[in-house]
Amino acid sequence: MKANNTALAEEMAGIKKFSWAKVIKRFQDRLGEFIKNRLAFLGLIIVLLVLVVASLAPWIEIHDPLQQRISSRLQTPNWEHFFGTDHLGRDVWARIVHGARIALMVGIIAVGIGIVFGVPLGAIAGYYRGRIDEVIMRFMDAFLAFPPILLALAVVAMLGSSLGNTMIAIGVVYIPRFARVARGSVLAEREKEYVEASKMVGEANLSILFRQILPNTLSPMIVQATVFIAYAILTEAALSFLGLGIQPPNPSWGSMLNEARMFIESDPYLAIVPGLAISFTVLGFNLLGDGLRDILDPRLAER
Amino acid sequence: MNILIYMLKRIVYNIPVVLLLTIFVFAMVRFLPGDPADILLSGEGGAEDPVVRAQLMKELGLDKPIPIQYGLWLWRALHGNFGKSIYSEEEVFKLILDRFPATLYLAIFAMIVAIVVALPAGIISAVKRQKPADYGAMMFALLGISLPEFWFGIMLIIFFALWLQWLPSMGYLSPFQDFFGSFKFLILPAIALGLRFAGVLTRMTRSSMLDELGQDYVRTARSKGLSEKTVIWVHTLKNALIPTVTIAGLQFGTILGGTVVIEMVFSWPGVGQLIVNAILTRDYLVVQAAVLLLAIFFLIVNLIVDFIYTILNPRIELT
Repeated sequence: MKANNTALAEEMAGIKKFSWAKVIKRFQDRLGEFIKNRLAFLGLIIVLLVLVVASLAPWIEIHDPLQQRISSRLQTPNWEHFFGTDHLGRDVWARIVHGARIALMVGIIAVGIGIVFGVPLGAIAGYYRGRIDEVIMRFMDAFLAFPPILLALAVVAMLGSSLGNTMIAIGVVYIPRFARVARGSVLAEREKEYVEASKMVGEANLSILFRQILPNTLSPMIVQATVFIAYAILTEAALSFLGLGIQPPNPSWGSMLNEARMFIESDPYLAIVPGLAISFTVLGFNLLGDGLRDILDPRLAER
Repeated sequence: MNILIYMLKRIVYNIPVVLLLTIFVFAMVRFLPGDPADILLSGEGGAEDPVVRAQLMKELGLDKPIPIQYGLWLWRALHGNFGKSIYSEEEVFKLILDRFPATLYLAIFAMIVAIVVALPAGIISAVKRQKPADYGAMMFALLGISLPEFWFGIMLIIFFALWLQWLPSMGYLSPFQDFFGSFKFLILPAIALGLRFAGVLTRMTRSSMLDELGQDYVRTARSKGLSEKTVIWVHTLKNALIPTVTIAGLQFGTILGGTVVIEMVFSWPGVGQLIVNAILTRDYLVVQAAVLLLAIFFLIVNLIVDFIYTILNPRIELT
């Protein structure tokens, strides 16, 4: 009965309902564009490359990233150690490869935390408007008043430094940002006819919001998530660089840079390699994000 | 008149935000593991003695329920009393005020560096759209937002301080002592700090220039035979700059945040360095006050930028 009603309402409003098949179809249509957009394609390749390296880390790191060999410390790059060894004789290649895991894991999970908490909050604020919108967004504004890294630092100061806390601290930064994106999209979407139609046939508000409106706001969300992963990776590196993120001996690119600082006069390459790894990965996500924006969300596209 | 009401509304809107900030930083210290009294009394002398301790707790109202403690804390904070640092035993507020000028000096100069680079880059990029100059500028912008600023700072140190030995790798001189002398310490950290912002700004300038170049008035100006130079430099630029400058102002927080890391790289004696060292040494009252004051400062800057934007741009709708 209800399904009938919904179908009827759709027919009346003459609108198209969201379906995964359509999203995939739209994506396929744009896949050609994506490959034509060479920079975006390059971004995708970089991101995939880093993903592959991170997931295959145990097989391609050759040496143990934590094993210290003082006898072979501070070697310049050679066939045995592609990127040389650090001040404790650890293989830099292994640490870089292993660091990819940490960077991606923190970046993706932190952004995941931002989505899981931020999107529902923003969506509810945008859909119901009024008082609840005021309260939620005021809270979000309070969090937005902190420069991102400062908020992450405050959370780390409170919780202490560890892998999990680093993810939480960076995730907190993205909750209000996703809330904003979600609110904006829902505000625009809620005025559309299919929402009106669903209301007419008596569909519950929360069901309209989460099953009809939110799936339609997927595109800007994907674009934002990609760009925020890039920022999150940079923030993790910065926290670890300050000694407040991933703790030694774990090989975060940021903490490797921190350790390398003591040797920049004698062994500058130690500081060069982790920085290139961070830049390469972040560049990949940024290129991919730009490309996805052009493809999925033409309104926001930069010309 | 409308504008005044709008401004007033904006200020009133921000009052609850500031209150939430204070609750957040207040709660921050309460949620730490261990007895909050240990932390709060750590800067006061003689807190180990149980009698003195009990007296101090009474003085600070730590024997009262949490909401009252918050009220008392807020009252003291309003008077600039954030307690004392564990280490220097100095007033936290004074400690922060002493270091704030260095941070502000670095942040403002980094901003100037970024604007000087990014505005021309963005304009040229838009005017020479899809020509090599455009690709070059966009590549620069992309690197700007992708390179970690602290790493870029280290690279600058390796290249300019260690190899070429043109500039010192760290240190600080107050501009009030020796304005020109302070530059040689300022240049490298300011470039490192300004890089990301330059990238963001280049992109923004380009896209708002392109927006304006597509407007009707530009077509009119061109069709009445004005030279391309006049069209771009006189007519378009003025309008394109309004959103750019606004976003530039709103991005000030990012720069302010960036100082935290850059100050550690260059041993710059600012608030950022103070915060990081305070976290590392568990000097929580310093962390609490510094985080709160930076966030409030950032809010005030945003408000001012917002007002300037409102005044400059009559097209904006006041809601």
